[in-house]
Amino acid sequence: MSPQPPLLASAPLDSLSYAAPSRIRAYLCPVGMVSHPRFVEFVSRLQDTAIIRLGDVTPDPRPERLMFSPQGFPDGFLVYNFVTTIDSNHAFLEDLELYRRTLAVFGLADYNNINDLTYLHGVIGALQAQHPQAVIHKIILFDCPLDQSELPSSDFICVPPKRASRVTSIRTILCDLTSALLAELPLLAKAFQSADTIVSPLARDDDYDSVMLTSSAAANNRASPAGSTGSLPSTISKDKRISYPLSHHTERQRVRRKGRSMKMIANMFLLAGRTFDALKEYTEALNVLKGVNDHLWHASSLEGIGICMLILAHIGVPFVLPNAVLPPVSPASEKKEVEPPHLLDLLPQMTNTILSLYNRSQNFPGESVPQITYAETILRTTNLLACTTFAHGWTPAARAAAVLSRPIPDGSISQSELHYGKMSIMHWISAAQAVPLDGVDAVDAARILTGIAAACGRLGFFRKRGFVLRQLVIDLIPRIIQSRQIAQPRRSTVPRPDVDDDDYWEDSHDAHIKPRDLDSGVLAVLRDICTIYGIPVDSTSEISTFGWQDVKTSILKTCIGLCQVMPDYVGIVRYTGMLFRSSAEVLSVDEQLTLVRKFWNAYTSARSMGVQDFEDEYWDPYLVRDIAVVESSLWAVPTLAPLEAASSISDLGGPFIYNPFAKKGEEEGKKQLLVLGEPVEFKVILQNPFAFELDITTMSLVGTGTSFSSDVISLVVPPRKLYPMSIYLTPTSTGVLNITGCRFQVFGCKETTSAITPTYAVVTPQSRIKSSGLDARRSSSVKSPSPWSVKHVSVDVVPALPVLRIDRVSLPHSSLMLLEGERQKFTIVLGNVSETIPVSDLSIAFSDSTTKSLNAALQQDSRSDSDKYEIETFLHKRAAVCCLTDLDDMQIPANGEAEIEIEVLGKRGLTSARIEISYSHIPESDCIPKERYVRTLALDISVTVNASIEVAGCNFVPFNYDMPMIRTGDGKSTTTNLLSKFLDTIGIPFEAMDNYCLMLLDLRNSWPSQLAVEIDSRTASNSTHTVKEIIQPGHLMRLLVPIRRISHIDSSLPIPSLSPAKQFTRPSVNSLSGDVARKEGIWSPEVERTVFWSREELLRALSARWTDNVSATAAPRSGAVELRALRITPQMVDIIRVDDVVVNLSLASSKYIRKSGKYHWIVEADAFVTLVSSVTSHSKTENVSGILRIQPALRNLPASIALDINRRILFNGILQLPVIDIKSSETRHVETDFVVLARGEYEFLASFQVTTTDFGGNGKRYISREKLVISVN
Amino acid sequence: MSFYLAIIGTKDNAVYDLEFGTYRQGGDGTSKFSADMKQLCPFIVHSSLDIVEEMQWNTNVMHLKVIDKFYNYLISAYMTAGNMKFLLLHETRADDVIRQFFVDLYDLYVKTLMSPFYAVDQTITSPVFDQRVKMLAKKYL
Repeated sequence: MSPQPPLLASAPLDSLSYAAPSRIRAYLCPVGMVSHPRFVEFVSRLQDTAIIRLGDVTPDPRPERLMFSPQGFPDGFLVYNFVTTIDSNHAFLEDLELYRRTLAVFGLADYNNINDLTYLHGVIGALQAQHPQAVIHKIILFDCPLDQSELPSSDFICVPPKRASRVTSIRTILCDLTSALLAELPLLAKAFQSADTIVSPLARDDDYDSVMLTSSAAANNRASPAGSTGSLPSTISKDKRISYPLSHHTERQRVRRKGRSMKMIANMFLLAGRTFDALKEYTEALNVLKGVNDHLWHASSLEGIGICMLILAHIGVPFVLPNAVLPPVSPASEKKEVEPPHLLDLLPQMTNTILSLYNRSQNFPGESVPQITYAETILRTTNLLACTTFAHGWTPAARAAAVLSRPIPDGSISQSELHYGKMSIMHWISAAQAVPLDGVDAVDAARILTGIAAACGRLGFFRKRGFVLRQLVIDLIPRIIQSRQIAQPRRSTVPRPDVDDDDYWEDSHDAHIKPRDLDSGVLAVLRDICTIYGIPVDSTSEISTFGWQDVKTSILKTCIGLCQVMPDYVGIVRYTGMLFRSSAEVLSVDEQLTLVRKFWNAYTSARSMGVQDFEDEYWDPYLVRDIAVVESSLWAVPTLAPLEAASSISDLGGPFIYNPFAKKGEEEGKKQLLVLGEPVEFKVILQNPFAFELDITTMSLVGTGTSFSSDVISLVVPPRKLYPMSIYLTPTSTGVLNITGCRFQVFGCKETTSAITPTYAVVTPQSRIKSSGLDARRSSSVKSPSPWSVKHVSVDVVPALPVLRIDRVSLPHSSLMLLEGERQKFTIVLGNVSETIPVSDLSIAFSDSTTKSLNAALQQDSRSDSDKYEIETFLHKRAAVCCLTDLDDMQIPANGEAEIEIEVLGKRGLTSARIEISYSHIPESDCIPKERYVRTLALDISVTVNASIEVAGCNFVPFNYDMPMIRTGDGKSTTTNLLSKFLDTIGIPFEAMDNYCLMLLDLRNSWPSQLAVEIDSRTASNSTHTVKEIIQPGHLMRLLVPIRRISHIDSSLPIPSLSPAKQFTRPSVNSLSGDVARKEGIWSPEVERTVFWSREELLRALSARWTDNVSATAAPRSGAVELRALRITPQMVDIIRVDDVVVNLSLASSKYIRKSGKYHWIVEADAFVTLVSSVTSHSKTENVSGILRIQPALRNLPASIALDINRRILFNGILQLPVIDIKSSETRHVETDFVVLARGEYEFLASFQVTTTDFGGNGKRYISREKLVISVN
Repeated sequence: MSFYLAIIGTKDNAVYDLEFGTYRQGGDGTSKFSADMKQLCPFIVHSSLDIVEEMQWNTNVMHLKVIDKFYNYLISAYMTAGNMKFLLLHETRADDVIRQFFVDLYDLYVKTLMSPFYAVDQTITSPVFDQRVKMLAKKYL
């Protein structure tokens, strides 16, 4: 099987491939003016043809140069490892591992950019001087139309332009170059063979850092499969060096030198593609070196043998396994035909042997193995095994992948066919991981670690890879600092801005790759690490529930640390932001402060360097916790008021006055109203969960709906606070406005919009686990804040409204002092502040301090109806404040003024009052809007009400005149005179005295100065009697007020209610019996109604005033006396009211009788006397029928004797008489004759029992008010 | 001897972690990890998850035994039926004892899981659980 020319191998070869030591290192450098893309293109063109079949190469004709002639093994091939950097750090390894030496140097020149070919001569010289270790130095002129012969020197190679050239042309050129190279190699081989000594890498100089595996490392390796020998002696110190006799020593040295030079020749054969010869040379060298215990070189030869065998297997040439590599044959199986082991089994076994030899070489200082070699040996084996794993075992594809780094074609890989499981490869990887990197320099450490990481990544062990990369990053930080400290003085003398000092990255020596690319490489690594550990790198608005919080925090800190030493300001900004976003709560205060200080510094530095658009979003998605409209004191918030009263009634709907299902919560749903063109304050609550001050450079409100303009403010939010701040907004058109959040920029962050999130998004735990491990990364991101936790503030913007202001109030300090019942006026001057809009539609409303207590009293169920009416009267009829100005047509023009007059009544309990003036602007248009927006202006006044005249009590006395007249015995008594004189003064005729009664009214003056009281009592429909008195301060005075008795009270009328109608009223039925009820002061409903209506009639007839005309003030105070304080009992009602039916008794005049008083007669005995009973109906409605009963009795005797009248008076007829159909206001006289037989004093009573069914209750009895008294002489 | 125990959820998240030492050989139950090692423990355990995921399909037992190592430290794993990973970082090989420890820990975990207030992958904050795990550690390790 011959190697096929690779069709597509443009990717650089894998430097850790198993066959990597068989490749010739060729350094490509730009010469002259070559642009970077051109150079890259040239390199890739060369890389396409990196594999040269020896059969294609023309051998050099010179006989002394035939040592590595391609004709020796035409099936073999030679592989170039084109590099663009010089690995000068590994020069000490070049003897042991020749493939590390740069054997060819090719300058790549762009013919189009070269003017003078002679200039290139100098370049050749420079290349030779710079790279003396290389065997050929050539300059390849790309896109050169010239023929080779036209070039000035054979050091120049001409490559025709790509279009003009065939695919094979560059291959031909490379074959020619190879031919030249192979011709030069024998010289190098001779140099090696003639060299006095060939030293091991670490023996070269003593001052080189002793890069040795420490004893602990060796102990660690014991556990690895590589260290299966398990018998490593501990490191011996230098003074315990094993010494040999001198002759023996020199003999050993000679043999060792020979073996080493043979091994080097073998190396060269391997590089030259002469694999068979290489295998042979290696085997011989191995045998020699084994004999002198030169473990390091022995192991290296063994490794060469392995590579040779693999390449031969790849080419398909049969070969014999050298005995040296076969496992020792046990004596038992010696006789049998031993099946030679499979190569795939053999190669790892060989690696084990190599590693044990390497370990053994530790015992010889100066001969020990360099870590890089050790680690790369393991990694190469790992690579080989991985290739076989991915390519279904030991297949040609696997071998091609191992030798030529060809990609393995995709195919279904079933587990059973895997020759080496991932786990066994992992064992090799962990062996490589166990190589201590203490003394290794940064480049080697990075190379080893990236190799391990690549191997892990290849196997799909991404977490392992992340772990290794993290170790790499952590490892790098101190090394970079160190290298910077070293580089500092050098940099000051020779400024090299294009080359970064972080030259661990292998292409950093290339001047064409800018440091920025380098940074992006490192940043890509960091991003990779972050992704593995579950830190979302790309989307900043998502919270990932994936990953381990502590680990994430630690990783981010590491990233920040690396960015700091680089220094990469953008990276610092970025990773600090991520750290704050993901784990601010676990960082301590000090950590946060330190981090944020570095963050600010980095941000400022990056900005000053001119980096643009690198900011991330702000870290906390819950910045804006709440937004609310603040009610302004300057701009009163308007309210919506229906313009047509009718619409509000029709809104009620349905038969129910109270509907429990009607929409409640009008308050909650009420939208806030903003007025067009007026700035509104919004209160925004900001959250700062961090331990440092948040510097918000700009902040404004954002919203949808109508247009508006928001103020832009800047502020500082204190640490760990919910911080309220205010921001102003001016709506510029009417409609609905939705405030959705804030647009803000935190210093160091991108300008972002934040929604209002009053509550944290709750991450609902997954009920079903759909994926686990790294696959779960995608599904575990939560959008934050989640849409359902977002709130928005909706406001209505209404058309422009005027603004009124109270300019002046004619009250000092808005307060006034009143006496109870006094009225006082004051004026309010309103000014329209608005420049353009007049005020129309002004209305006024009042509330005062009494309202609340009265309403509360009204709510009590236990009150009787009359009490409720009393409270309602005070609530509704006695308004404490009222407006005297007619507001209906009042208009206040823009910038105009208006005056309103207000009157305040001194009411008990009044301490303050509120005057609310609602105003609006209704534009004059044809269509009248259904509703309007009203603004309210409130004025609070404080009132002090002092007590003036109080009603302390009252009683009623009927005019009674009998007794004194009897006592004096004649009609001219002084008492009667007094009475009639009194009646005269009050204008009541003596005869009509029965229609009046006297009220005894007790009044107290609680005011500290004397007050004059006037009480008006309407004694007739057109006349009034006035009682005037002066009451001294603190005194109680009883006033006598004549009252006209009240008739016609319809006690069947219910007690009215002034409150709005209620749906259900429970009748206050008293189940108590009459006696108890009377004692308790609770009356039956009928009595209550009677008392109520009597009192109403009484109050209607009375009015009282007081005047403080005695005091020295200019304007005398005056006011009304609150007569509603009068309390009336049913007994008083009997005195006040006139019954419906009045029964009177009198005697018809005759000669036997003599009148001595109004109801008093002196009658002679045994004379016929006529008793006239008069029944008068005062009922206005119906005719009354009933029975008149006359009851005579002996006077002043106990009832048992008093009623025994039969033998003393003889009546003509019966004492019970029907009286039928008495018309309204008719008086019926019934006469009864009688003769008194015995002397003495008698009294007659008459009663009338109604029999008419409908007349105010059947069976009601009316009794004559006065008894008729007869004295019989 | 020191140990580091971590219970890893399905999203690579640590549901519970504990660092403790042995009570045997005169130990007082506190871990003797160096400061660096303390920091490194979660990372080592986390990187072993790759191996757990590789191993879990190749066996039908829950106790995966020692699956990984890092220098001198060994990592034992136990895979529950609900894809929770118990990982123990330890220094010496003691498969049987660790298996008993894991089985008892699984018992504790299942009890926790049955709580109506606990959902899969939530961090276990119960002090009782913590105390019982420490008792288990004292008993076995």
